[in-house]
Formats: sequence, C-alpha cells, structure tokens
Amino acid sequence: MNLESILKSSHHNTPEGLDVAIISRVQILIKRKAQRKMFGFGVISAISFVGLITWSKNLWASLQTSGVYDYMSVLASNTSDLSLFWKEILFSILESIPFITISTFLILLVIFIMSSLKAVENIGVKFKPI
Amino acid sequence: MEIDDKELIQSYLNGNEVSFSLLVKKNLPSVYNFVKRLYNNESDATDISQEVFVKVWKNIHKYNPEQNFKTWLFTIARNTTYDWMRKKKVFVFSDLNNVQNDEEFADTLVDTEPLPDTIFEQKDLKNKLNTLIQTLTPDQKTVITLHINEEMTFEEIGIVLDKPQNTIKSHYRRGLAQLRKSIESAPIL
Repeated sequence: MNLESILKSSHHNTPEGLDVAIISRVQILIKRKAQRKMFGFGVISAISFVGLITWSKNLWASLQTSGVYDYMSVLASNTSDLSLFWKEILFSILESIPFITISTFLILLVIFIMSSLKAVENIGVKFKPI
Repeated sequence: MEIDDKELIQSYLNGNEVSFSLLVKKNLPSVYNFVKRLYNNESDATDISQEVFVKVWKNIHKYNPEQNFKTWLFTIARNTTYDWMRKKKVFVFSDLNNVQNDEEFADTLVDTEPLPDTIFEQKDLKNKLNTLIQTLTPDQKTVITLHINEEMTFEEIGIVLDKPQNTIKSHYRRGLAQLRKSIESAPIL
C-alpha cells in the first residue's frame, strides 16, 4: 500500500443534509431574484399602462382630426371611385394617418404586454413552493 | 445510467430545475472533500461548499460547454476557498513556493514506495494523514487532492491553478515527499 492509495481512500465524508441546504439556499436566491424582477416588471407594467391610457386619448383625438375617417366614409359610400382613383385615395389615407402617434401607442402597448407577462411569470416563481 | 454534468447544465438552462439539484448531489462530495483538504475546518468547509455551488448557479449561464466542467468547478472551488482563507486571515503560502528545479521533480512522479508497515497498523491513520496534509501549502494540497481523488490530469490542474504543468508536477512531487517525511517522523503515529 503506497501513500497515493491511502490518500485516495481517506476521503472526507460530506456532512448529512448539506446537499439539501445548498439546494434550499439556491431556491431562496431564485425566489429573491424573481421577487426583484416581479417588482421591476410590475412597475414598468404600471407606468406603461398609465402611458397607454393617456396616449390612447391622444391617439383618438389625432385620428379624428387627421381626416382618415372622412376618407373611409367616402370609400364606404362610393366604391365605384375606388377602382378609378385608388392610388390617389391610398396616398391621401397614408398622408392623413398620424404615424408617430400610432407608433408610440403600439410601443407602449408592447411594453405593457411584455412587462405584464414577465411580472406574472415571476409571480409564479416567487410563490412556487420549495 | 449516470448523466453527464454538461447534459445536466443544458437541461437546467432549458428550464428543468431538478437538473441543478442533481448536479449538486453528484459533485458535492468531490467539492466538499477538496475544500476540507484545503481548509481543515468542518464548519467553514460546509459554508465554503455552499458558496461554491451558489457561485456555480450564479455563473451557470456563462459556462462554456466546450470547457471541461471539472476544471471550471474546481477553479471556482479553489478561488472561493482561497478568498475565504484570506478573509479569515489564514495565510496562503502558495506565493512562497519555490518553483526552482521544477523539472527535476517533474521527471519521476509515480509514488510506488510503500510506507513502513508499522504505520499502517494504526487504526486512525487516515485521520492522522488528513491532519498531516494540513502542513502542505494550499497549492500542494490542491494538486494532490485533484490528481489523486478527482483523477484530474496535471494539465487540467494547471488550468485550475493557472500555472504551468511542470510547476503542478513539482507541487505534486514535493507535496508527496513532504507528506511521506511527515508520516515517517510524526510522533502521533
């Protein structure tokens, strides 16, 4: 028997329950991380929701003043003109659409949906039993 | 059938939380033994082992599957233990190791010489041996433990300690020589 084989056999035994303690500690850290994310995304979700409500009024007003509805009503009442002047009508509609207002609204909507989903996902992790 | 560490990591990253528990259970005995060899304090070895796996969890996204998992794990274990020892003001001697004449030591590495029979008659030799190991430098303990218990190559250990292979071989040879000397002259045996 040489020194190497004795060293190999003189292995320190792991204390009982250490694996469970490590796994529990990691799970607590996962929950803490989920809690931080839950609050973070919750705040973003709430802010974007307020922005969305405010901006939707702005969007509604912009659409009403832009004349888009007028073009639409003309199209609905007189479909025969569509085949003759479709290019002019299309350009007129495109010109009248308030793109910046709509884009801002859509960005806010995406932020709201994504942050809400993330917040809900982390609520699930946070309150999942260990 | 034993699942490979890399598969467990991949599975965990894919959302299977049980995989991390399996990874801990599979590697904890090796990590604990390594830490305890480096720093012979049961309570601290337990805390350090916990810290090692917390760091593994925190950095699991950064793990490169092309890298040897054992090398990665023991690098974390070694750094965590050294940091702990520094915090506790347990001096790390590794910087004082004399690495001159490395090649002389690196040539013959197989330790086949038997120890005196009388020593092996002692019932608690293993415990005493674990005490004697504490007289070695941290790097010597690291190399001996990883090579003998974890069957890691000197090249892999070199990555863990960030040192050339010849230095690792030298640590190994010197460590064993010192240990043998301690065993033969130790009054406790």
